[in-house]
Amino acid sequence: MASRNRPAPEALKHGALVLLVGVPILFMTSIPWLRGLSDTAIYGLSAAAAFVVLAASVVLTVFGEQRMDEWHRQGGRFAYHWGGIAGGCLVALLLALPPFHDLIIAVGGLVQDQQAGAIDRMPAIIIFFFGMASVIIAQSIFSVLFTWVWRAWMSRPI
Amino acid sequence: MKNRIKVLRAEKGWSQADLAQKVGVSRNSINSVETGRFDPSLPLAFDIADAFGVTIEEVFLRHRDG
Repeated sequence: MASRNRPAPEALKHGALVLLVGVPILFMTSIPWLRGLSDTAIYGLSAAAAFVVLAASVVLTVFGEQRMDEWHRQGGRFAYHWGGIAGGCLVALLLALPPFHDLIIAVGGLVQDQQAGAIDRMPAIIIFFFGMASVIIAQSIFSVLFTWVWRAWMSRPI
Repeated sequence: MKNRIKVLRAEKGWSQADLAQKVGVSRNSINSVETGRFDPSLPLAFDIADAFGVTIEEVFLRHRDG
């Protein structure tokens, strides 16, 4: 089975890795500069950065899948499934802890050009919660959609 | 599912890494299959049997057969 260990184009793989790490760092270090831009420019640049990071992540995921044999794929499925559940539970637990609230408020203070104490705690925490919840809801919806796609594909007539 | 991979490897004088290379998977995969912790897919089971030059039934046995 030649496809099990197919090598990935190294340059593309390294480029995706650089983007995956570099773009978020560049974005975070650019926050003071971004503050001076219009909202439209900030949203546009944020969307562009998110798109680049997601594209790099997809490229690396595809290369990673190509490198894996079935043992590694099964391990990956196990880790992704239970890791997702564990991570979701961890965030739910963290949201009950005041020090985690302080962290959320501190990060909010970084991007809002205000003192951390000037930010309303409860709205910030609720917005964070719904931000997390939206990811979980979107993942659930797409999991159902991809289940239908997989079933239809595997059940298609020959 | 039981298997005779260890015996067949010993007969051939192959390490797990040797078999893994011949079949095109990682040594971890061979180790897990050999120890019965991981049931291979049919293509991989056939590839392992092909590597030893035997039929699949000579490599893998159901628990009730063993």
